[in-house]
Amino acid sequence: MKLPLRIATWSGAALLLLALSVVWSLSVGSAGMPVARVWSILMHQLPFIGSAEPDWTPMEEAIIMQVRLSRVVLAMLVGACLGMAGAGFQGVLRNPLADPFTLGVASGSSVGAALVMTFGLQTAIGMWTVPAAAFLSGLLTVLAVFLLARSNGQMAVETLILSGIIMQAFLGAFVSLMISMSEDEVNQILYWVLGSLSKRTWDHALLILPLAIAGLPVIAAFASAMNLMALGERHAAHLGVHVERTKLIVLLASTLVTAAAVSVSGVIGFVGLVVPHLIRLIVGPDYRLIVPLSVIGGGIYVVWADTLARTALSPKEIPLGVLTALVGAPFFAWLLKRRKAGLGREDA
Amino acid sequence: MIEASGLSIAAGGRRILDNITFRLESGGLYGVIGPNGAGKSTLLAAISGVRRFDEGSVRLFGRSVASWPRRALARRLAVLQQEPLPRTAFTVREVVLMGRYPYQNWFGGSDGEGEALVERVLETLGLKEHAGRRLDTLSGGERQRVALAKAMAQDPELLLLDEPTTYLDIGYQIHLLDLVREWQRSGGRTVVAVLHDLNLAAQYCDRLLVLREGRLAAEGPPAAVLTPETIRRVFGVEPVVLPHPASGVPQLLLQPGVAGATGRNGDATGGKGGATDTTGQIASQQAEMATQ
Repeated sequence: MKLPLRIATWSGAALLLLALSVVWSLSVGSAGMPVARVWSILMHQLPFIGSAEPDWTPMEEAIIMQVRLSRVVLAMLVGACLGMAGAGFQGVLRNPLADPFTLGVASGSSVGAALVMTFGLQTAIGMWTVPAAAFLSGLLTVLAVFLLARSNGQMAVETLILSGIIMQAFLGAFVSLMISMSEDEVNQILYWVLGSLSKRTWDHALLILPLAIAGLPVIAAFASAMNLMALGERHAAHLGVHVERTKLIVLLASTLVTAAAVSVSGVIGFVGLVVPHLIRLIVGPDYRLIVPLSVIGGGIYVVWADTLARTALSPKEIPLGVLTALVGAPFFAWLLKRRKAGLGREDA
Repeated sequence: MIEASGLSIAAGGRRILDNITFRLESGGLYGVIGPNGAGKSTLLAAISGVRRFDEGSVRLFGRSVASWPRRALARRLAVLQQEPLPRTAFTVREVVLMGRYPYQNWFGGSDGEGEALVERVLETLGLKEHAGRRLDTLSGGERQRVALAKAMAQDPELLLLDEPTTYLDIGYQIHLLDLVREWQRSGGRTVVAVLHDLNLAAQYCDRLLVLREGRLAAEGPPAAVLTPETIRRVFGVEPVVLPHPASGVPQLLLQPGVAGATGRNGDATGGKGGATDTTGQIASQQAEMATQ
């Protein structure tokens, strides 16, 4: 099958699954609602289609449209950003453990958010103080990692990953220090670091939407180059790829969308690690498929995870980052095992 | 085709290449030989534009190598590396198609004649029946053949080979070099190959460049270059050189335990025979790797 057709088929199927997931997620919650009614309410919002008389209460419509839909859309966008970034990181770093947090965005953002909270400045410049601080400190951290890893105008992959790990350990210690020093803010910082989508609004979703939309074509443009880089940087260079430029642009774009996601949701691990691996398992190694499908797949994964997070132990909420790790880590272990078994067969 | 002039590269206080000057005309198969650590791979990397040099110049097709846009250069120059392709999940055909990257748009579509060329290359290299197999199911020798197919699919005027036969058994070595020579001659192309095996170099190459400690120690047709004197001077061994019974090109027979008069790396630790010489070779091999 030709590539454009394959992309269209797979993306169509994935988008359908995403739509079903969204409707399902909207229907579950403390006030349960039949899927059909959720569907009617959604359809009713569209001009020219919503003709039928509403057979639901204004209260129900408000719950779906204001409370749940904003959260589900935000979950979808955060997941899309993390999936996209994960594909980008794995594509240029060619390391199975690479994920959106490899270069220290997560810990960097956490330090920024924790600092703001420790000094009680959460609203210093309005409701966006924490996201802004997290976004900026995340980007600064990655720039520091780049500088650390750069020598002779080149960034070797191993050095980059090691620099990221060092930075994570260092900044993680800072966050721990702030958590242990502060008395009444303990829960707040900890809760932020664990990641959550509760008490978010449409504004949060609108904040990261532009970056998610801008990031996709940038990373997708390098999909062919990332395919060649899978053969090794030398091979890619001899085929006409600007290896260093590709690495820099893809890593920067991935970092930007990751920082955007983290700034509104806190640290949600394993999405960017697991989703691209799963996609690769299903559709093969071609990044022209992996990148778009990781975007959709990330959205699906986080929508599911967040639905589970807010309903499983209702009325208590499980921190989203805890849930994605609880599901993602065993899954990744299974992937690893499978991969090893596969290699064993090939060597025999 | 290739003009190098005063080419020098230093790393770690050592000159890997020292004032190299040569000129290779198009339409030949040229060999680069020399002991480990002589700078052969570095020379190839400098010619292909992936390694910056400190002094001198390299001109390809009449234009400075640094000024070539990488994509335009990839349509005229291909490189076959020493290491086989990694075990990826891409199929043989997909990898060979990647050779068309410099000619393609994002979808890999706009390249009609390319697909026909890829099928021809698969046929020529006997990869047709393996075209649907994944790279991680192939042996090292087969993957090296796929790498050659990818380079041929680039349809370059100039092909650089960096010790392409290192990991191959003698059958594959001869097979691969036969393919390269046939391809080079039939298309009027140019090939520059770093070769380890002097006997193979003598049989396949039109001219040889001999490197020793970063300098050009000799240059010329095999019959003029592969003399006992040059071999002794460059490699520090005392060979017997005989004409090949079939083709008449010089062939070397090595004599165990007879090291040459002029020393080479590692000889200081005692140049008495096989075992110590081997450790010397490993040491200089590591030095070569470290500089890459």
